Amino acid sequence: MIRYLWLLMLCSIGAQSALALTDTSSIYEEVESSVYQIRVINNETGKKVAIGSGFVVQQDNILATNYHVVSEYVNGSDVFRLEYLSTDGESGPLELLDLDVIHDLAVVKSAKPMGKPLVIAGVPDKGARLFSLGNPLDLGFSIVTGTNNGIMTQDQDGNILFSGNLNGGMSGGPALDESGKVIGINVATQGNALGFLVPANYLSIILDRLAKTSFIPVEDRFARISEQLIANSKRTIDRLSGNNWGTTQIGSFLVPAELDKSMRCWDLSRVPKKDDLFRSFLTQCSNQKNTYLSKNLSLGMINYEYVWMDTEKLIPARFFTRYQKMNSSFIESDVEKSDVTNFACHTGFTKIAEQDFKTTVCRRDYLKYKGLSDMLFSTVLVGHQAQGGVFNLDVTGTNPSAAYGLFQKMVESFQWKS
Amino acid sequence: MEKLILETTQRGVKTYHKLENFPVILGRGFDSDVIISDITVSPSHVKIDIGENGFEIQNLSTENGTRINGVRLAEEPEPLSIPARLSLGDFKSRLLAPDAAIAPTRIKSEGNGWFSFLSNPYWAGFFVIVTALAIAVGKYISTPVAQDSLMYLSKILPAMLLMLALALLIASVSRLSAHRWAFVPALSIASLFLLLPMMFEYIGEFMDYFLTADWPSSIIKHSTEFLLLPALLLLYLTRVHYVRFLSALGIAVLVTMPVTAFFVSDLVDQMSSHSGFTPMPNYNKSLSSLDIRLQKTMEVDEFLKESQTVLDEKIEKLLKQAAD
Repeated sequence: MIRYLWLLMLCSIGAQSALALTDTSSIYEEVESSVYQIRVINNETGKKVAIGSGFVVQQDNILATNYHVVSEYVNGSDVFRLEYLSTDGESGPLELLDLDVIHDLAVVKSAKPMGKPLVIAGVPDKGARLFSLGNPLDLGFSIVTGTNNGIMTQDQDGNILFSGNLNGGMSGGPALDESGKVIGINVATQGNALGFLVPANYLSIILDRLAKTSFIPVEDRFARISEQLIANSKRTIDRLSGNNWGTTQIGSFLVPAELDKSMRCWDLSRVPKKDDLFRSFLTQCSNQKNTYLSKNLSLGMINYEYVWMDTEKLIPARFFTRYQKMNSSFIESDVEKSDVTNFACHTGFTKIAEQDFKTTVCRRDYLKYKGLSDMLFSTVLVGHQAQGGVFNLDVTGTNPSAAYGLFQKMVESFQWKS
Repeated sequence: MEKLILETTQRGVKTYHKLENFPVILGRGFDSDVIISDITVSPSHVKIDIGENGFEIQNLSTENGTRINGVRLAEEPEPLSIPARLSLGDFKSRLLAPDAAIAPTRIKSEGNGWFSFLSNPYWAGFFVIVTALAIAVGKYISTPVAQDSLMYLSKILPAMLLMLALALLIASVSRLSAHRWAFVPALSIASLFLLLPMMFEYIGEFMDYFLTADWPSSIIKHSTEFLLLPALLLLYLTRVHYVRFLSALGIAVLVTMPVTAFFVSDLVDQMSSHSGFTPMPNYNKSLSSLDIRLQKTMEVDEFLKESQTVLDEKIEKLLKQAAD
């Protein structure tokens, strides 16, 4: 999702100015003192590296914001610190209590009272007016009016679609209904006047959990994050496995079509030329869903692709040099040595749809996030002289056994149609 | 009448002088009995004579002196035992008895007819043709699009040129050092130099798929890089120039040293980049239309179970490594 949405965090200021309208002054006045700018400060230089918004909720010293606003701090708590800045210019330190990377939420605590806590309410009817608050582009606090366009399906993160101009820096700010209750948290924007809000009930879940432990900060944040990612990955894979995939034909194979409505599939076949000596087809599907962890790390992606090649004119040796070039799979990501291990791989030959396949499983584990792996599966048709098929599946930020299950279920539904 | 043989070596060529009328003076002067042109030799350098107890030798040189078996001679005549190594200044020679054993005659390998695959022109022609074919077939297989046959010819010709140039180079060196062109064996060597790497590469790829592993091709590739050139040179020296095996080995290793040094540094680079972090999965990607392999086909669940066990172990090791 990250690829298509702009997270509303500001890392540097260079965007053109866009001032929001404050047409509902009464709401603004009522909640103004409960909304803050949340900033991540470099300990050495004292300058901010990221800003967003946050608001007082549940208790007068508890604030909610987005995870992606505080992610720099989470990933470098020895280099950065958290601070708030009030509408009247007052600032002070904040302590991170808990987070939810899946729904992009974080809860922080201040040492002193911060104002009146806002009250959480359910999502109003579609078409209702909503007011979103925040500090767009670091230009000062504003209120933006928009319309509730309803909760998107589970496939799209279950976020609320908000028709209104959200801008960078408003991340973590509250979206209120007409009675001034929090129904969502600003999280992302896309295109013109298309914003997304995290439903406030996910925030309630964290707050309830924290209330039980009298608001003690989570000890191991990375363990908490990997727990959430693994649970989410399992949930997603379980959901996919339960779906009716339908079948689609690629070459001589009938294979699963779309694992889910959220999957986006594209045909990336090369355009055939007149004097081609072989045919080749490629389709790729992706869940387009990545959980943001840091600037260079987003996990939770599920991609799969089918390749088919055949020929009537090439001799086997010639066909196979070309076919071998298609046999290469990798995961596109910006991970570094400090994030993951190298891939460990295992290759063997398997029987799929009564045909022989050369199959490889690769796995790499995250160093900070215990139990979290990237899994890569690749299986290649062998034993045919003029036909070739490749199926690649990769799942990032998952628990290996869930990914094994999905791969097995997928290949077991392959059928050969000669 | 007693005789002595003086063996001198100049520019790799051995010359023998019979010493019969004693005393004999060795030196650079034209009045010497044996004239030695080396510039470190004095005009009258050494005198060899027959005394009461056999041969005697006397140093006459006040400049660079004389050594016999590595020991410096004084001014006085000293008894001489045969054989002996004699150094006049920088000039090296040996004194031998007339009945000293000589090396056995080397049998030329042309005598072995068909099996002398280096010297037989039919073999050379065969190698050249096979190399040209191998290049053409290699190109044909690696380009899965329709192409003009002239294109293949254009790929073969530069390789043929390279082969000829290489053969000429080898033959010229042979002409300079041994005063023989020996062009046919040079051509055989040059075409083998191009042909063998292609053959080994194919074998490596076949073995990769056969064993489902990447190490066969990499071992074969590296051994080709390190061994092919010295091995061909060794073959050439021993079979064509009848150099003794050990000397030939020495020459081959010495001459190919710069090439070897290049491949060593290349190998070290590769090893260091392999041992580091890579976001790319490294698995055996070879495919073969022959589908000849050792590994049997398994059921999917069986294979996945096996992978889980294998990968758990491997990952555990990698995590331990990362923690260190």
